[in-house]
Order: sequence, then C-alpha cells, then structure tokens
Amino acid sequence: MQHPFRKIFMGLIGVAGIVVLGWVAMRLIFDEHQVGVAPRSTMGVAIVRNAGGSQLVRSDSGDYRFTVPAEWMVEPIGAEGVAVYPPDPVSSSPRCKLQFSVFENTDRESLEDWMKAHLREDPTVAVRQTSLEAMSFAGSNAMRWTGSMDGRKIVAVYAVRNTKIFEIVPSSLDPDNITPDACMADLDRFLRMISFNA
Amino acid sequence: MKYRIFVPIAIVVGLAVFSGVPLAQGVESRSLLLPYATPESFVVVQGYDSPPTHIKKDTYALDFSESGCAAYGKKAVAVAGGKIMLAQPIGYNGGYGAQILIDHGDDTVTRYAHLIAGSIAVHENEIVPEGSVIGDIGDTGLVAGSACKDHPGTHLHFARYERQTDGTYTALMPEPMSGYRNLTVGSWYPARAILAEGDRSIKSSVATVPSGAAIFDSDDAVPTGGVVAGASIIMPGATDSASAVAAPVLTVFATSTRIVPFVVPQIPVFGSGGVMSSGGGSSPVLPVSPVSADSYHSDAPDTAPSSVPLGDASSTPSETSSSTLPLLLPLLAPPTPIPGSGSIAAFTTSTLTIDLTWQPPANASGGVMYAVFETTSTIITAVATDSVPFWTGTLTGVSYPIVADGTTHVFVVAACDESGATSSVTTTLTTPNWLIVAQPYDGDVSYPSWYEDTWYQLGTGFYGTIRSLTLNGYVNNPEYYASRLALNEFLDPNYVQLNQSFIISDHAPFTATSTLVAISNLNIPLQPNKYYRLDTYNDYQNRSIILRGTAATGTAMWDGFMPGTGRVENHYPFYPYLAWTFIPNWPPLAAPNPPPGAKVSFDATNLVLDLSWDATNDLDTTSTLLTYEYAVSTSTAIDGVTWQSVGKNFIAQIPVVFPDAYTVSIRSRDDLENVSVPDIISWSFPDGYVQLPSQMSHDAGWNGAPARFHLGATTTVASIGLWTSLGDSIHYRAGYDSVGIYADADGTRGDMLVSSNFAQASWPREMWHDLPSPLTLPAGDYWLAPYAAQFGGAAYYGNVNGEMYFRLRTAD
Repeated sequence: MQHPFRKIFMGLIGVAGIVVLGWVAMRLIFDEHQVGVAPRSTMGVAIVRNAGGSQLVRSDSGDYRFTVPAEWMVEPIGAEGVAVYPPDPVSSSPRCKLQFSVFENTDRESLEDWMKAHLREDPTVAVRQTSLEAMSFAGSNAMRWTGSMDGRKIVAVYAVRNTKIFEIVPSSLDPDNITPDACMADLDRFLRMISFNA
Repeated sequence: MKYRIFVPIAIVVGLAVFSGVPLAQGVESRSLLLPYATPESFVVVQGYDSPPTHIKKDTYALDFSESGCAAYGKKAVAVAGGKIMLAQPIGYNGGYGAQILIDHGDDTVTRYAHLIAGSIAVHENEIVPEGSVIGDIGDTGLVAGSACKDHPGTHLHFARYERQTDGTYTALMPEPMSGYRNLTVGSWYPARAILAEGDRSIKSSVATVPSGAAIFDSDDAVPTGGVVAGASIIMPGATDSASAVAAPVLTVFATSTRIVPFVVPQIPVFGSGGVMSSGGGSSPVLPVSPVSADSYHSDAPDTAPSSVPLGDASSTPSETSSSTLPLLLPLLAPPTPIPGSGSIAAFTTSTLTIDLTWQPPANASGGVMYAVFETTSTIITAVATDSVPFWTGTLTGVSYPIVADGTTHVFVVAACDESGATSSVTTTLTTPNWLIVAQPYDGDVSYPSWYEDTWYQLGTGFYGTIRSLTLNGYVNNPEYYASRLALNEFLDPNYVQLNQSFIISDHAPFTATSTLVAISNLNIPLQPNKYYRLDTYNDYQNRSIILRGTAATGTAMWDGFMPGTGRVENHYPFYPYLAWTFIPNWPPLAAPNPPPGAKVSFDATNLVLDLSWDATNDLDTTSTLLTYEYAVSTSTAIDGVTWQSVGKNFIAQIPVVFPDAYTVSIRSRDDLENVSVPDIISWSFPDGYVQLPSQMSHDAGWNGAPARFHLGATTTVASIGLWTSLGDSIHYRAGYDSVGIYADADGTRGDMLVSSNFAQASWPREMWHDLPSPLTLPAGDYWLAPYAAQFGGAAYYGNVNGEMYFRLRTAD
C-alpha cells in the first residue's frame, strides 16, 4: 500500500512537468527574436528578422511580402495590415507612418471603380482630388491618388492583385506638420520593397 | 375587416425596446455617455477648435487617451443608442483609420476613429444601445505623437455632427457627456453611466450595486422628465485618486417609463372601398371631432398595445368606416412632408431612387415607429390585407430603388407612437420615362476633379432608344468649339473597350457661354450592361476633349493624345445637362443561333488557348446586339460554370494549366438575355508537351530546391530561358550562378548535363541563353536546378526579391 504523500508527490511532479512543457512550447511559438526561425505570427502577418537585421514582413495568406531595414519599426494592424515607421535620420525616432491595408475585392471590381467608391464611403467627408496617376509597382497595376479630405492633404497608393486591393498611405507623426510631404521619399522607397504573390 | 399585424417584426421591435435600444429619443434632452467604458478614465489630449485636425466639422472633436500605451486596446462605446451608419474596419479612411459612425436618429451622428484595425464589433445598419462596445481604441489613420512607442499616436478621436438638410454635416457640441461639461485638455474624465428613460437593461442592473453611494448632483445630467431618485451609486474602480475631476458616480433617475412597446404600424383601415388620406401635404391639425376620410386618420386601440396578442385578429381594434368615423383617442397626426418640400416622395433620376422623407407626427407620444408600404392601388383594402411593409424603422426617411419607366407608384407611410396610436399618409408618384444623367451646374465647386464624375450605367433589363438629348454647357476654349459630339458605348465600366459610337452632331453645340441645346430625331438603341459616355472630338492634333456629366457637375477634359485614356494634362470646366427619352419594351428576340464550331490553337509559351469563332447569324436582330460568352471547366459537365463575356469579339484567350484537360463552352447572348445552346469543345495538352517547374524560388533568396520535370518525347533543347516577376528591380549578386539541367537518378537529382550562366547585375523581365550546342534529351524525367560553382554546386542564399520561372526552348 502506497503512502498517501507519495500520491501527492507524484501529482505535483506531473503538474510541474506540464508547466515546463507548456513553457517550452510557448517559447517555441512566440519567441520571434531568434534569427531565421519561429516567425512572429500576429493576426495574419509574420515578421522574420533576417541575419543582417532586416525584417521580412509577410502576410500569412502569402499575398504580399517586403523586407524593411532593421531600424524601421513594424506594427501589425488588423488581419493582414501593417504599419511601418521609417526613422528620422537625425533623431532615429519614427518620423513617418506608412499604413499598409489589405482589402478584399472578391468581385474583382476595377481599381478605379473600387477607389471611387472607397474614397467616398464616408458621407461626412468632403473629398477633393487633385491628381490620379496610373503607376505600377511589384508587377501590379496601381494608382497614386492625391487629394484632400476635409482639407487635409492625402496621398494614397492603391494596387490591385487578384482578389485583393492594397492601400498604402503615408502620414507624418509630427503633430506640428501633419502633411505627408516629408514622407514621400519613404513612400517611394517602401513601394520598391513590396512584392505580391502571383 | 381583418386587422393585419406583422408578428415577427413586432417581436423584434418589442425586444429592442425592452433591451434598452432607444428606438427614438430626444438626444438633445439627455446627456451622452463618454465614449469609453467604465471604469476607465481618459485624459483629453486635444480639445475643441484646435488646428490642424479639430476644425471645421470636427471643431467639437475630442481626442481621448491614457498614459503611454495604456489606451491601446481599451473599449470604445456608443455614447448613445443608434444605428451603425458606417463601419470601416480597416484602411486609412481620410485619416480616421478604422472607424465607426453612428446615426442617432435625430440628425445627429457621432464618430469613433483610429480604432484598432479589425476590432470593430458591429456592422453597418446594426442597432446598438447606448454604452455598447463598438471597437478597440488604437492608432490607425492620421495620428501623431510618440508617447506610445509600440503604437505611436494611440488615442480615440470622438466627434459629434449634425446633419443638415443639404446632406452636409456640421460640428455639434457633444456636452454634457456622462454629466461632464467644459471638457478641457489635460483633464481626466472617468466614465460613468447615467440611466435615462427607456434604458431598462441598465436599470435592471442597479439592484446589484451597493447602496450608500455618493450622489452626483449636477443638474446638467438630468434628462427631460427625469427625477433624481437618490439611488446614485459609485461604479467599481471609479474612485481612482488620479482622477482630476469629481469621483465618478452612476446617477440613477427614476422614470415614468412606459411599459408599452412599439408595435409595427398598421395602415389604418377604412370600410370597403375607402380611400386613404392622400397627398401627404396637409399640415397636421388635430381634429376634435370625427374626421373625414380625406383628412388624416388615426386608429388607436383604447388599451395598451402590449395587451394585444400580436397577430390575433380577435383582439384588433374595432373597424371604422368612411361614413361613420368615431373619435378615437389619442389621435395621431400623420407623418408630414419636410417643410418646403410639399411631398414626402421625390424621384431622383441620377440614382434612380424614390426618396421618401417625412416629419414625425406632430402629436406623437414618445418615439415613433414607421412602416412603409407600396401598392399600385390607392384602395386601402388592397394594401391592408395583401401587403407587407418593405421597410420599418424609426428613421424619418427611406430611399426606394426604382426604374424610370413612366409607371405610377403609391406609397403608404404608417406611424405608431409609444401609446399605440397609429396614423398614415399616402403619396403617389409617377416616375418619368426619361432620365437625367447630368444636372445643370449648381455652383458647387467643391469637386472640380474628373475623378468625381459618375457615369450613368444602364441596368440589366433596360431596353430603349434615345430620342432626344438636352445639353446645357459651355467650353471655355475656342479651340474646341467645332468638336464632334458622340455618345460612345463601352463594354466595361472603365470606358476602355469601345463597342460603338453614335454620332450626334458634327459640331458640338457649345460656345464660351452656357447654352441650352435640344437635339431631337435621334435613334440610339441602348443596351443593358453597357456603359455610355458623351464624348466630343476634334481633329486638332488628334486630341479630344471629353465631356462628362455628374449629378452635381462635370468636367471637360483635354485628354492628351489618346481619347479616354492617358494622363490628364489639362481640363476645362464643362457642365452638361443630359436627358433622354426612350421607347421602352424593345421587341423581344428569338434565341440566337449558337456560334459555329470554335477553332482552337495553343500558345505553348504562354499556356493559353486561343479560341475563335464566326459571328452568329441571328435573323431576329442586327448582329450589333449580340455578345458572346465562354466558360471553362476541368470537368466535362458545364452546369454551374461561370460564363465570361467577351462582348462582340469573336475570340477569347483562356489560360490553361498543365496537365489538366478542359471543357470549353461558347455561347451567344442577345439583348433580351436570350442565350444559345453552347458549343462545347474538349481540349487537353498535346502529347509530349513539356511543363517545366514554374517557380524555382519565391522567397527571400534564390535558394530554390531542384525541381523535376518530365519530357514526353525526345526533345532537343536549344536554350534556357529565365523570366522574373520584378524585372529590373532585382538586385542580383553577379558572378556565381547558373541554371543546370540534371539527369534523374531514381527520383533524385543526378549528374548535371548542361548549364547556362545567368550571372549579371540585374535581370530583365525575360531573357534567354543559348546553350553552346543543342542538347538532345530522350523522353524521361529530368531536373532543373540552380547551380553555383563557388559553393560546390549547391544552391546559395542570394538576394533575389521576386519570383523566377524557367523555360526551355527547343531547337527549330
């Protein structure tokens, strides 16, 4: 006949084992700092830090990916969206935000029609367009929309790929100067980094 | 007479009432909540009338946040009950990011912006009660600041607007909020709830809160009709000493809440053959004596409607007749037109809708529920017994999609207030048999851009002929006075695939001054699913100007050297007014004949089937009214396939994938949607066809694994091709790399047979390298693999940022 304390002791050992195994499993899943392994997967976006420090950002769906320099901050937003923050070369703190959003376009609406509807979705906002420029990046048809909404200047790039529409909008983090003008170079640089799935 | 009651809708409405949804409320008479949940306390980081963002309609916006990143992920709540007017879960959205607009039903709207993308917990048109969680506070859109390192700029942007009669929105002071006034930057405001009339769900929870709490004594928060009951309580966690304002409390107001739910309004029923009130334009004067049938009518039970079993005809109110109308109390005035409009119905030709808008009954008791019916008869009995409302709700307006076909429609708007009294008004409207695609210039210069243009698209089922056009506009450049005017028909909504052009005039009848020109004796057939655009051309350097009409304004554009496409170099204001008359009911056509057997050729380089066929010989109409469609399936069955239209073309290009076999179907369609029996073609890849591995590498580097391929017959390879998805943007480490063809060794890569060096600084989109001499390979399996001599033949990690495809070209 076993001593009653033996049962308790064995039970505690079992619980401790489960805790340790659980901790190890969680580390394997969530530790994104190991180079080249175990990508951080947050809400459908994986961020992998390459050997040189650059960060590979890839949607779990495989629809897009890009690699940004090590010093850029990357913030997953939404299911497949992400915001990247290029730093100010002097202060090294984020200067601009490039918000990258992914919209479903299962009806395969033309990009122009989709933009026309999307930009006027909010009935409270006064929209004024100043230019619309056809462009191409990452092998996809794209449009660069420049205009204002409620008087605030906005530059937005839209690209269509299969059943997705991608929106990239630069904005300034400087509360004293919210126009995106200072972020145009970052935008152009960022566009060259993006590639889409075929 | 059976009094028809719509049980399911009434149940929903009743539940909504009892769950605290304020179906109609006087927002001005009560305090809003703060836009975040208890027990949170937020600080105002940007206040009223503060540039650059809290100006104009956002003058009374407030930005709420907490220290550091603490606000990120906290819950945003509805400050009052209402209907979700807009929910944008992702995107920049003009700088508001992920956001929600709530329509509170009294021409006020509130905004909750910069929410976490994907966190929005409601959907458009959903009715939300006051205080319900609608999303998580975040940093999407135009935000600034660096207090939160991981989520820069996190805050909740809250604003309140008032909708104007012209559809614009203006700033509206949101205070008091949870009883607070004079919200100022730097001050912290703990959230707290205030009960008000109708908030039964909150009231029911009061009993669980301990007694003895401090009383919030601000009379600002007392809603109209409310009485402070002395049952105020402190909410959990609200005594945070960090708060810079008074301790948060929940103030409870005793109410004289009615327990009578709304019922879906019924159309008041007269005796057989009675006629409802009509016109909808009479002012709501309360009668004190029996009313006549041509005035408004009320039909209120003398007991609370909640005691009336819904759908039980035996408990319906007593019938009335047009000859003897007893006075029923309380009488409810009918919904009335918006002042100045004269009618509750208006047809909008640009959107093809009937807009029904009305004012609440003048003597309504509490909130009002409306139901809108449509009938083709003005006889009430037909409506009351056979119709169901196509819309119910508490808003005072609804848009009703319709076609412009010259028919008469009768709409009945019935109302029911909280006491159960009902009334109704009938309005009759005949749609025109012509359409206005562009309104005259209205002086609105807010949207001068061509992008604002909205072209009129004829919907499916529309068949008619333009007989006349009325144009009103001017072109302020004499160079274009003598332009040719045409109505162009396109196959696509982007106005790229021109189908045909109808010349209207050799000289566009415009000058530098605005001129109204009517052009008659036209005979332009319009087709469903086509897109029409009014264009003018002149022959000056082959340039054109394009006239575009919109609901508000239009723009004449000088479109460079390619009409309809290209970059806009300049544009001139032009304000066309286009209307047309048409003859409905195009004569029906017999089903067209099927297209003759299609011919097929295979483009092995692009893996495309080129189909072509001859025009269908349809004796019932002209060939210009026929279009063709095809469908592709990897099954021999064609049921459920998706048909793709190629318009009037006689060809189609169909991508195929090795080694699938295909069933290709082609059919024709006429303008009355008759379709032919399809021609069906079976197709498979030719014998000996070689499909090479299509994607050697698609990740961060060229470390693609070797891929095996099969040759179905002896093949002589002359060159190896490489195709990249990014072309010149590839930054490639020069000097190392080749692509090799390898033998197969029992399913693994064997000896290299030949290689081709692709090492160079950058790659174009496509390039071919000839082998030193053609290599003849017997039928069998082979491998294609990258080859890097300096790494002992192993693939290496390069810096290829794109996708690569390899192909073999055989010797001629």
